[in-house]
Amino acid sequence: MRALASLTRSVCGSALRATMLAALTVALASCDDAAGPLPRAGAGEGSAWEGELSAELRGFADVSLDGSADDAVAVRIEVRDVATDGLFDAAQPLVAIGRRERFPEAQSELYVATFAGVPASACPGGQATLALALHRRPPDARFAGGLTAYCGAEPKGTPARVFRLSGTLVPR
Amino acid sequence: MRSHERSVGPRTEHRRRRFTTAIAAIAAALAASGAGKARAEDHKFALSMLHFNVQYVAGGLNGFFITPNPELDLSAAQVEDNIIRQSFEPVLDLFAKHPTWGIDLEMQGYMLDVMAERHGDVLDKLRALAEAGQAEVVSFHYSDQLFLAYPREDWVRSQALTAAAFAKHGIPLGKTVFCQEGQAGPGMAAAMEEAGYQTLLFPKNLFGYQHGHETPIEPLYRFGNIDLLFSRGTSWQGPSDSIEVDFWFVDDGELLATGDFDPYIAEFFFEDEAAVAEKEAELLGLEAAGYRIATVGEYVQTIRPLLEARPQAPPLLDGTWQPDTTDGIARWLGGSGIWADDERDNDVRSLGALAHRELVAAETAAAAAGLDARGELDGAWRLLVLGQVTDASGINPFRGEIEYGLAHASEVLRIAREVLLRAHAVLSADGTPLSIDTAAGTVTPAGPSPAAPPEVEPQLALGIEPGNRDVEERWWDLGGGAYRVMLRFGPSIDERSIAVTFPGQAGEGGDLVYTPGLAEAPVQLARDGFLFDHFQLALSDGLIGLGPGAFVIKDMARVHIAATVRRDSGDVRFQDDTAPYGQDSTWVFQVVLGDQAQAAAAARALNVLPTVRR
Repeated sequence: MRALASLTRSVCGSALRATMLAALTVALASCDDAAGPLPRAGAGEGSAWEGELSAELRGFADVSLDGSADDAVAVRIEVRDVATDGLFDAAQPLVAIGRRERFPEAQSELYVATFAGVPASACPGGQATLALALHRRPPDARFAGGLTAYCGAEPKGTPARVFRLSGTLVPR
Repeated sequence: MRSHERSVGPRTEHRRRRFTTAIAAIAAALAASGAGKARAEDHKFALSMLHFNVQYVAGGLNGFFITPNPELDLSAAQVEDNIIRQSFEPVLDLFAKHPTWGIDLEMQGYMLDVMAERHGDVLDKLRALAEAGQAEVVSFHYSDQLFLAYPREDWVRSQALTAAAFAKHGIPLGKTVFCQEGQAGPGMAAAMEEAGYQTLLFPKNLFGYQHGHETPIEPLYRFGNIDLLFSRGTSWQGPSDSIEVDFWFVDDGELLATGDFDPYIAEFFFEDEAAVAEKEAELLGLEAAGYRIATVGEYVQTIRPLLEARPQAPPLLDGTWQPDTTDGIARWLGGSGIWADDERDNDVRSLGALAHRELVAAETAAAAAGLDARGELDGAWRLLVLGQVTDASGINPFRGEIEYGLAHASEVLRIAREVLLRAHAVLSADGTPLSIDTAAGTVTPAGPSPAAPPEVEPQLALGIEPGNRDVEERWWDLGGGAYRVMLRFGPSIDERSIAVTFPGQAGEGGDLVYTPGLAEAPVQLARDGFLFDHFQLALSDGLIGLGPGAFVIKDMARVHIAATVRRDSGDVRFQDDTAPYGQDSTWVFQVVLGDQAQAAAAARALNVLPTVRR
């Protein structure tokens, strides 16, 4: 089984490589995008992005980030095919005004938002606060980070779970 | 007897070397030869170190196999549960059957929290063995993190979490230290002493890589003000006493009771009663041959009075337990493994370094502003050490583990920025930028943005190996003999390896100069005190010497991969075999042409306790 797992993963990688050489913008949906060619944002450093990220490896998150000049960002995220463990309802989109945080000395930026009062059957009080944190190194368009679920009204303390997000968004 | 080599999973191909030594046969031979007839002054010890790691698959197995399979796509909690029930509990049960046997059980503090939350009965069994002195419960870090690669403060917070977990759950914290991936190094002596530990078990192969695998060793050494022993058997003969010591197990503890299957192999990772029985028979044989199945702590306590003067440990560099097969710590800092296409070591480790910087800045600002942000900050430190888990960048990380590291570090950054914003509102009502000096603990108005430093010609001839990527090299004069160097590697569609070599000087004045993990100042070591051809260093503050009056410092939030040094050359090489396809990689270093104190201060100001403008 280990050999099979190794083979299937490596075949996937090879397929991706071949695809890259043939057509740089094509990706295989069944393979993670980490190995694939990534569209680059180019010199324009806007803060409006959209697209689909992988969520917890097998699921997906439709993400929209709509930034303004003052670094406020309208965030919308909808998660699919992820076991949310009663920490939020994947059928409900998460919407909030977040921020774009800049780390110029580290060639980094972070898109953040919190979603409070999320119904969460797994939490003692029945509510969770979700915190989105997506890191990007300009000029590349790859984002990685997570959606962290905290039981209660504030995103602090020990989280109930960190849901992993990664992939490439396209500038709007 | 000899210790296990690490065993193999899909991520650790080097580890599957079957333990071929027939312990029972050797014990029988010893008994037959009379060696087993112990005199009162003979001390024969059989020791162990079962290294458990509840983050063996950090984030769980979901997505590990390309084809979804509910039976194998285990969540993080399910993997943790299996480790505790299938591999850990059977070991406790085995030793509960033999009250005269001792064992060392190493784990991160987080594992106690997991047991307390979901496996209280197993925690009770552990407590019973520990309180009886049968089990020495060894723990040096809360998370199985790559602590040698980060500033000491990150480990300090981690160790505090571990100590708190042990106290909360009523488990005596052992005085012996062994660490994730066998991390060990000279900076641990002072750190261990300050935290109340007594003995470091230093991996035999990390020692052998530096000084020769066959070099004779003593049964115990001085290591600063504490003790050190190597995880290799040896013997000693005194005027009336003798010591014979060996290790019956130094390996991943998960393998003992499962017939060498590790948690990645979920379909076979179950308790194997025959494997446990086989081990029990081996230990019974050792016992019959006169060996005391003991803890490291018991061993040290017994033999210390016999040794009139313990020798000082030889010079040691920091690294991991199988340097021959992982190319030292490089496997976690630029080296690639089985799932090479997914790896992005520099992304993972530089984001961890950035999160450290922002968190110490947030803590400083919160204190200056008088904020009650302890809840947020403590949570962030916990997430930081979890995210620094070794498996996010080595040995063979799969994508889920890589993203575990990135997700945790990103959340730390978010929390730190939230706290900084709140502090800013208190300290700068008009929004004026603040200068946060994390070393001095002060926050002052930042004033106008400093002028950009002048760009200058390269001060050293770098050996840059970009593969088929475009590369740009730029230097800026920061003043006082310090320079910023930027190397921007453009995207490649088919190559992962990029490297740069900084020219250095060996020979006279060309000692190794670097700051070991958990140390706070550089050490200077003669290269001819070692036997290695080359060695890989993590550089916890980014600093390494290039010879007299020249140093290079990684800007760890931009480049955090291993430095390769050689015994016969002063050159320092940085190589990343995991640079992502299709993406830029921009590395930033500082070069200091000055003295060691200046370079050390620059490294601390850049990577450990920075001053940031926010």
